[in-house]
Amino acid sequence: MVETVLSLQGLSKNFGALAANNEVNLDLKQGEIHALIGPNGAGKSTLIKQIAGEITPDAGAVYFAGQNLNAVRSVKRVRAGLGRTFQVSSLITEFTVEQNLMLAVMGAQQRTFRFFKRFTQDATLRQQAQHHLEQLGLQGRSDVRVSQLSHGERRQLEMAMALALKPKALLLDEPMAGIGPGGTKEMTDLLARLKAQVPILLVEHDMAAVFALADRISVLVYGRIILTGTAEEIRNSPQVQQAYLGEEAP
Amino acid sequence: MRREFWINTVLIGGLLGVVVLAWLLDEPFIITLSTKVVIFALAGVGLNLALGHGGLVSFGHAAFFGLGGYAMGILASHAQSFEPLQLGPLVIEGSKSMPVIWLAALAVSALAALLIGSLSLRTSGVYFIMITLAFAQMIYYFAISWPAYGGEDGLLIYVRNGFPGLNTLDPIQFFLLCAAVLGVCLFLVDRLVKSRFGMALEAARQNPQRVTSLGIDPYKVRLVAFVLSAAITGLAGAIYADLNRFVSPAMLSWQVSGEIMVFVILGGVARFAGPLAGAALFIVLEHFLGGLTDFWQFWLGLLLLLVILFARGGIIGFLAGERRHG
Amino acid sequence: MSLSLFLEQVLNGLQFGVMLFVMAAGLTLVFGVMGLINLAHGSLYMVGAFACAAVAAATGSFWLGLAASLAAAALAGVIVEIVVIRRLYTRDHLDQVLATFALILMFSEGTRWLFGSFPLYLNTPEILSGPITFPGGFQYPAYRLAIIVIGFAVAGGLFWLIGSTRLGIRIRAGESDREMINALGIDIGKLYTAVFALGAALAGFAGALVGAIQSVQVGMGEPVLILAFVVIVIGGIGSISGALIGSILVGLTDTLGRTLLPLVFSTFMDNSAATSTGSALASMLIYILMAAILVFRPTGLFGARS
Repeated sequence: MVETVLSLQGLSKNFGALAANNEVNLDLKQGEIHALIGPNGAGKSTLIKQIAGEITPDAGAVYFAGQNLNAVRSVKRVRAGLGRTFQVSSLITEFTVEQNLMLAVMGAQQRTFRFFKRFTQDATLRQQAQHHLEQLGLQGRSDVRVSQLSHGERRQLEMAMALALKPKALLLDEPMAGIGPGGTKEMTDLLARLKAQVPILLVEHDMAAVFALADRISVLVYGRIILTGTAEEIRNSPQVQQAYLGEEAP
Repeated sequence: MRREFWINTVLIGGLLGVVVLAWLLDEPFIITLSTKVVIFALAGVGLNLALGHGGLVSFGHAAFFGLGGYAMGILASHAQSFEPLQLGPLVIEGSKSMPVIWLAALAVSALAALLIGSLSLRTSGVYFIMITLAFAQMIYYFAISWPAYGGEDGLLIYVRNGFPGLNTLDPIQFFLLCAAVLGVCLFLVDRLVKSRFGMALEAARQNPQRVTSLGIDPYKVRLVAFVLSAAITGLAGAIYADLNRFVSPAMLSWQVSGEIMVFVILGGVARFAGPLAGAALFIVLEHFLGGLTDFWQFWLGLLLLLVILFARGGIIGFLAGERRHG
Repeated sequence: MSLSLFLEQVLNGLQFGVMLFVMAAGLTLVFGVMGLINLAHGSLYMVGAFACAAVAAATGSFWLGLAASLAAAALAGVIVEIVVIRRLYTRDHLDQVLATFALILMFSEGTRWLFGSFPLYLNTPEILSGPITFPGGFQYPAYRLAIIVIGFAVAGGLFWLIGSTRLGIRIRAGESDREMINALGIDIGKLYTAVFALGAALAGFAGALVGAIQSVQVGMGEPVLILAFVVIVIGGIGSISGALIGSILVGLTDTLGRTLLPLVFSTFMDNSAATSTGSALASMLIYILMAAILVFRPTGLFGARS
């Protein structure tokens, strides 16, 4: 029996009359990539925000490592091991690449309240930051300011920051968006390597990448999960075909 | 960076030069004016930490400036009358010693900031501005309507408080003491800004959501910055009250909050010596424009407006070019 | 405390509250539509009061003065919007605060230049100068009663304006979506000027009305401005209904607190201690109210929940 890391049970969220998420059940097991797909406006962002703790569900609960997270604030969820990246690149744009990673290492160490020692002379901070830079192949870009990075490099940096926190599960919100075919290939290889270390809940529009990577796929339409299955099952489902008709073909 | 370093050196050297010259020419008024610049700069250094580095637009720092002033006034008045201060079961002896008074001012303003900050920082943006302003106003009205320490009339101290080994009544010695305090605070704040904490604060200003997703709580980081910022401004308040040997609710008024902000902005937000440049310009304007016209604040307003509309980096930004980050 | 005294205090609280509303409505509208925090709103209140006092003194007519207050404040609003404020819409709140703080300095010193430092006095109009006697013998000043009526009329007018006129539709569109308003072919610059002038006129109007019961002097606007901020924080930024509820809550709490708290304290303290403790606490009461509301609703009673 493979251990379930993250599990959503009957998660519902309404905005006025609109049911953004309607009794969503979903789980993420150790060692897998579970992809979440669905047309625009299906409620994927709302779901991610509920898992991350930015909005509270109207009903249902998020369980992480067996613990109900509903009353746990975002920052505590991160400390518990729930890492994430954002749909729109979210970095400290006036910092350099290295400084962004140092911040992530600081978060991982939980030693923020040091007031006197210069961070540039903080050897442990720098060493660990460099280590994570190298893992993602960004070592040559260490002193470049984030505002001067290419889109693909920003995505890589975000991944490096998420990994620096040594998460027990990763929420990736469209990591392939806007990074071009070369970037997509690299990112796909990276995720394939990562899944042995950390299970990944992957929200993604790039179907080729999803079908190449995902062990299981869930399809979210109008706030409901209409099907969860292997790539093969999803491909052959008439229900899914119909949901995507007129949208992008899988 | 190099250039800003030289501008700072010229600024600090210039101020010290003026004071030495005034001392040689026996012009105590100029020394007192320079002392005022140093104290206002210290208040600005406090606000700059929250406003410049933390992006927390506090329009209520007069509360801490005034509380620091009252910490001085209350302790000194009890020492003057030889009656200890009774706070329920707690009996506090009055004091005429600056180090004791400074510690009290730091503690009182930090505590007030902890209370005000923990409520105000639940909000952000315009709410934060209005709420800090409102809380400062609350303390202002309290000081006016509480008769025990002079109410609206304020509290007068007969003799300036003492500092071990110094004659604080001598203008040059008092100036040097104030300048030393400013120097220490500038150094500490500069180190803080470049520390782990400073990095987290700067990051929380730019992208709080990102900071949260790294397991760092922006609320806590901001609250600590707000408290430290208030403590420095409170210390400045205690010294300012000592300069005047007088504290009144006027130190708590919203205009003072605005003026402390003006020191920071005129000099240049988040610059090392910005508050010093701003406070110096403010005093120079007050003194010289004030000599020419009764309505000098009209011209101050116009200047401030022009700086905000057209020269956003303040004096130091104007002279040194764009600010370097990190 | 007698019932008639209590009734009088409730009416005083209402009168204070509705005037706060007229101030706060303009502030909250300007913030809701343009995203601007305007500290100089208190200066427009002062401009209205001075215009009314000057014109009333010159012509002998309070009503001409009142008309002048509306015109002067609206005109000042239009000029300030065109010269300064419109450069601030895209700036951050810090720049807005400082620039409008600079405007306060200029307005205050400018007014002192023109009118001197001494307060001007503005008499209530003849027709409203006496008290009104209610059935049962309770008396209340007619002028204050008129302010309450006018305040509620302004509130009604604003709700109507925003709810069912073309300008109101544009204002609401401007609050929700700035792109859309351009798509509708509305000249956004003119809309902003109009909204700002409306807020300014309301502030000037309030200044004139209150000027007749208090004195007209430089610096009269800022305490009211800060109270209007408290009102907006309580009610929720951008909400006219929130501003109305918040104003009345603040007006009643403040007025009743000042009368009742010393009485409450005198039940277990000696008289002078009760008066000083009671009045000191009363002066903080509305801020305590604000803090309490913040704990439970950080975006105010009618604010959008985050």
